[in-house]
Amino acid sequence: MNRVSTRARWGLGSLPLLLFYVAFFLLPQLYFLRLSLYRTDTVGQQLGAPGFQTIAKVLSSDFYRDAIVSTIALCVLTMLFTLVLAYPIAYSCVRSRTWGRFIFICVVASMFSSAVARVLGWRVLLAIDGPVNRLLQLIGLVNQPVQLTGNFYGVLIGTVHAMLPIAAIGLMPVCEAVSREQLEAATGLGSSSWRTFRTVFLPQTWTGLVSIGLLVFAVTAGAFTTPALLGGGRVAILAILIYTAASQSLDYSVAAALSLVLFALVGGAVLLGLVVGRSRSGPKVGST
Amino acid sequence: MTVSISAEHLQVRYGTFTAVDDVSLTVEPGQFVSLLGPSGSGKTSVLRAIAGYVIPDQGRILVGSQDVTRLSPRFRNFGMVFQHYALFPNMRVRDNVAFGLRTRSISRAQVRPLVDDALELVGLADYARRYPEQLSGGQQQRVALARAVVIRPTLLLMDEPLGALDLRMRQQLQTEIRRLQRELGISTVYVTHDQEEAFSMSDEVIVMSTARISASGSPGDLIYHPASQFAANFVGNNTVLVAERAALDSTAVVHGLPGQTSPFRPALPLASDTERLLVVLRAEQLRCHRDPTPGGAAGVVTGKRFAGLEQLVGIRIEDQTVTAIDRGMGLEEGENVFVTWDPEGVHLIEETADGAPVPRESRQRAVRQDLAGAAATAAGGESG
Repeated sequence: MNRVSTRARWGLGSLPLLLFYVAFFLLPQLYFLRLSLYRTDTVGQQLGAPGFQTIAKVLSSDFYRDAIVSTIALCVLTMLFTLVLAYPIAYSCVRSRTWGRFIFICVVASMFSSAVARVLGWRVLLAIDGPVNRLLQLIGLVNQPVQLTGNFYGVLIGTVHAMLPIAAIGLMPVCEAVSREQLEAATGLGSSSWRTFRTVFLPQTWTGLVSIGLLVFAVTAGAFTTPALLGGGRVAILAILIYTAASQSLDYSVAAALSLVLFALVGGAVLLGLVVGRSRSGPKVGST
Repeated sequence: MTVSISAEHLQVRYGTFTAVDDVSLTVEPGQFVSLLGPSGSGKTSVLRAIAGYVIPDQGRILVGSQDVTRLSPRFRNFGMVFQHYALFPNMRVRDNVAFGLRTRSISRAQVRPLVDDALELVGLADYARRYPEQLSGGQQQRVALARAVVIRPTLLLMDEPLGALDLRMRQQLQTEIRRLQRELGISTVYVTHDQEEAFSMSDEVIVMSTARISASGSPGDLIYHPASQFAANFVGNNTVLVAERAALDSTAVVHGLPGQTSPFRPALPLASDTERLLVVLRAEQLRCHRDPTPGGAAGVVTGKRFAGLEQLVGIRIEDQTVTAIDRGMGLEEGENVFVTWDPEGVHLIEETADGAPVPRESRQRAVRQDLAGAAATAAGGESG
């Protein structure tokens, strides 16, 4: 049993899976994206010769451009807020002997609740006379109740909440990889907590942080339920517009063109993430 | 560093479990003190309390006259070496060593020569630009050592620093650590479960068992004059014989090994509360004979093993098993042998009724007593 033959057999073994993937995932996807090169009638029949007019139409329209910008904004802000919140959760979950298990259970429980239930909960909390508004007034942050649902902020709160458990669970092994001894050694050498975080902890968790960030970005880009329900139809982001184009205005070529844009957006983010993730990693593994 | 560091009546509890109970110790300037004990004996907890990573439930840590019990490890100026090195994998060797200097806001120009010196000291000057994962375990631990001593710590703490290394590397580093420690004159507390390591490196060894100190002293004292039964059993291959007070008072003749009479008396008068006398026989004090010997206890060889360069043999004499040195006799398992020993100068421990050792100013030892009619028996110790 040499290594090559074993590897070849593995390749052969995964062939059905690959065929399945191509037949049921890749081909339909490509077939759908292909529609962006045409104009279509209401039953999805392509009209005319292939070209870029639909894509050009989408990219030149102010409405769609705004949607692209708010999609990027939503993804980036969701990613940042989620990471900032999930990082300490993951850290304390891994490090705290007494609270770790409890925090973990809470995180997992919130992940298993249905998106619809979560969103409806937020609609109650964020209502114009809801507890969040009352709290904001109580601590004097605002004088008047503020509109927190049916706009971008409501959607942002919802997506951050939805992503938080995923990011926290993803960051746990990342945080666990930095041994407690290292942190103790740093303290013993006279380092402040902030310095230890900045020079020891962050550099070692950076790559993990970036990849979890990418995951959050990509999932948020495709999120539909939360933006649809918390946005109240007033927040135009790509996922919702694709749905509207395909199921309400029955303009499949526009839907396909928007999908293509979303696809490029996520792809670009992944590439950027790979570059950024590399830049901070310390030792060049494998070199001697 | 001319201050002594001491721990007074430390107690460390984790929930209901008491990891350290009433432990006191002092490290004199430049002294190398080992905490020796099996895992779970609380030695690491003592170290962590001294380092400041654990706040003891009771007791104090003093540096000179300053109480540092509740001071963060950040401000103690102690150097710590961990079992698994705890180097920062994201930094080069040079930056690892420089870490403790940078936190002390020392200028870059001053840091560099100090780091170079420290790396020179541990023989890794050529490795400054490497990352820890590109070094062997032994080299990594040397970097950790350099990182700990470069800040000129008041106290150097080491938690089983050689536990993850192979035997050769361990022996090499033992010598190196000791040389470095002497050269720099750094007071050191060293945790280990390896008896040989503790004895070969330390000025003082503190033996711990079940959260308490059960014996302490210089390696020589522990080997030749253990103060308690625990210490006598813990160290080396000692055979401990027990003589009750009643028997001592009546005859001053002690029945030695089973089936043997070895007359002796204690050199000093017994303390009033002495209830038992323990006779501590080291392996090299026992002699084996193939032929029946006057006063020899008859036994059977049950096993052989090497300890260091000595061939040790286990011998069962009735219900007692003793360890002796083969001395080139080539004894085989199952062979019948006769064991003798010379009582003169043998170390004795006095114990009270509840098993506590009786404290003594000077050492209690045995004096051979030639009783009429017992001369032949005593002559069994032919080595004199």
